[in-house]
Amino acid sequence: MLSRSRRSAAALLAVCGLAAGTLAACGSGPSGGPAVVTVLGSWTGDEQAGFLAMVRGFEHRTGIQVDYTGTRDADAVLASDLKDGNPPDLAVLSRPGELRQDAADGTLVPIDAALSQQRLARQYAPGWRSLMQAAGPSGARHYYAIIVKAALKSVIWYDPAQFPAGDLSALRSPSLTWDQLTALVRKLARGGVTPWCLGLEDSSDSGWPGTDWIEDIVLHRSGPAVYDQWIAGTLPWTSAPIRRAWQIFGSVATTSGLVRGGAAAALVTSYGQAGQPLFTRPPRCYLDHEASFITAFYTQDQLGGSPHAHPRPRTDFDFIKFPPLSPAGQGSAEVAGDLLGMFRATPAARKLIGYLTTPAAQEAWIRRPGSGALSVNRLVPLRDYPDPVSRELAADLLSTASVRFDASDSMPQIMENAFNNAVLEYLDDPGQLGVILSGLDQVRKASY
Amino acid sequence: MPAAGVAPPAPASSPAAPAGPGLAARGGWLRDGTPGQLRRLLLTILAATVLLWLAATIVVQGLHSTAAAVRDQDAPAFTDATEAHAVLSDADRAAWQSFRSGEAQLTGPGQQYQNDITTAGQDLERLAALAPSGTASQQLQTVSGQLVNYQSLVEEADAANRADIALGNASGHDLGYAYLTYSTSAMRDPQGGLLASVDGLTGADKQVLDQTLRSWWASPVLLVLVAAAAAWVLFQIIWAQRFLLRRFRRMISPPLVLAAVLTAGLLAWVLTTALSAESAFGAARGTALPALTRVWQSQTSAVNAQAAALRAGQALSADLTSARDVGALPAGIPVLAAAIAGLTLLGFKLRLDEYRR
Repeated sequence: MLSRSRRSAAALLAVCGLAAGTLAACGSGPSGGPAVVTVLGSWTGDEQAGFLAMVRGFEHRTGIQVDYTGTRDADAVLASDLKDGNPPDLAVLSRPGELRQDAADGTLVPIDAALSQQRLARQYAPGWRSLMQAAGPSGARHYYAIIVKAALKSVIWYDPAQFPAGDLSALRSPSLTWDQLTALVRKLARGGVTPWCLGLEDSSDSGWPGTDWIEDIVLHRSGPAVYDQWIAGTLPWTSAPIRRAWQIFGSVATTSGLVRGGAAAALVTSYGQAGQPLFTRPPRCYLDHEASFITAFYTQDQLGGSPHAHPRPRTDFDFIKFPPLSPAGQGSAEVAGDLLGMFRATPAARKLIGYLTTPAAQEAWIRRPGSGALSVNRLVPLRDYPDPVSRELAADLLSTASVRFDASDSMPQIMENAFNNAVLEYLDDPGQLGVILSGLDQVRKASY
Repeated sequence: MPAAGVAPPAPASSPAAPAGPGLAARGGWLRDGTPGQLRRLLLTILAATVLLWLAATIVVQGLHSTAAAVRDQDAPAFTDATEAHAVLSDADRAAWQSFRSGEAQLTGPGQQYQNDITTAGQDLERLAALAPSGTASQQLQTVSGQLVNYQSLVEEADAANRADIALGNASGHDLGYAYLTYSTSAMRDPQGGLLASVDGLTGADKQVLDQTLRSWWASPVLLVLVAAAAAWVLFQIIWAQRFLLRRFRRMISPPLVLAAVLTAGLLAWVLTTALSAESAFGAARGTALPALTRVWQSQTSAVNAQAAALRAGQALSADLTSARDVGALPAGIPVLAAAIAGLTLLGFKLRLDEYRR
């Protein structure tokens, strides 16, 4: 796969060698190409286009080329790259747990030098800044990643145009509780349409949409304190709050008639396609519990089966916040973010890291209609979001009093993988819950 | 060689012996009358011969290295990447067939799956050996990581399937099939799946191959350079011959005639070899490469087709054999150029010697 120019140069050099001393014109040295930053991430399709739009200004301004590889199996690929000792310069990490692990073992390089501390303090809330930091091999805390984009996870989506009109106000009520939502769901089910859309498939990360369900139930039922203990590995999986959360999730996912296609269909339905039935005429499900980034999929879906019409925000899809299951769970929200860490410290990689934290870079992505991206940079104005739904999501993301990062993403990677797989096993055989939770506790004891 | 019975001509200017090795005397050896003209002609022909040697060497070496690169590097990289796509696609089909037929209970994803994965692994190994560091290497690493990930999902499917069977789950072994679905998704996701990544490699390799086959070195345009250099040599030799005929009234100089014949022969040799190579490049570009691409496309659309059919990639290599084979030309060029120069020197030496006597 040598390039043509390199081969031509090699041929010319060979000839020059033959005619050394007789043809001075042959003597041309190799030219240094532009600096390149290699980036590995899980963004593909529109998300990839969003990131490339984000870095385009950087490339123009600096002449540095950003060579991005996007695959849904980025974690597995990164693990393989690290094992081979040839990681990319920068890689997207969707898990603070992974960030902490890689920082502690020295795989990640601190990025403090690439960032202006004062600017960071002005632009990012303390909670988000804390997420970018981790303890290095010496135990000292450094910045090891930046948050490229964020998502609000505690949301439930519906189609305002198709949701039964008589129940719309109840659904939109700011004081909606889980019990009220459950009653509404059962009423919808009696109407002949399965209320919930659900899809757990995501290649090697399959199962995470189920973990999001369980995490939201834990957070909104038992509150942030219990949630934090669970993440920290001090609360057993077999404890009452966690077991109860699984059971509540099971009451939705494994109860006949509540999930479109039943648990078997949910196992093999992609999370990105799970919400498509919201937009068929008539709808085949009414509610979809997905993170804010799902709007990127919705805007690509067909509206009413027409390949030329796509759902529009507010008109065809809107959201409610995940309702509290108890007073302890009020006012909290689960969030997630894509962190970008540095595995090879090069001047070009440092420059890119510095650039991506700026409001200008963040705006380039969030401005794209249907991108589903949210920025946690406080200097990015809400008016820059392209539609009212994303504006509202961004406002909620920045204003929610008690924000908690995705629990599974915050756990050690082994624990997270076990959690994902456990959700799949639970849906396959809900009767095994006791065995599954005991198994998770075994992993907890070994991985913390 | 003076012709019998013909008196030596009176030199246009006296070939006076130099008085000594003075600077002025040395500087005048090109300007002095007929000997100076002879020396100037000789130098011109020698310079033209050197130019011919350089032009022919550059063209033949460029052609040779281009053909070698296509045959040893670009074409194998393209066919390996293409084959990797086909066998991976077939591995997915084979795994599903094994599960559907119930064979998986005893043999997991099956022997065909194992064979396909082994072949894909070998393809990727060869690609890694051919890939330079940089983007292509990074892409290969991505593909390798995705392949490991795909295999682990199939293994999970196998384990879950066996567990379902052991538990006597009569509901259709949902979890095993679920994992198999995830493995298929990991492979076939058009946005960043394993096959999409392999296609990225194939596309890059095809682009490089295509560019090489259309490169300057594979183009007859460069031959004009050689032809021009040879024409200049021939013209100078003929001019010298005429000069000798007029000035010395001698018969045609045999060494110069031989030099002219060798020049024409060298040109014919270079042209024949280069045009034959160009024709081979054209065949590869116009026939073998599109044929291989067609086979690949049909394989993509029908995963059940035999992956071995893709071995048609060998036709591409066969086409390029003749392009790569420049025979003894690389050695012949300097020998013939030296012979032309030597004969020219000889042809002029005889005349110049007359002035030294």
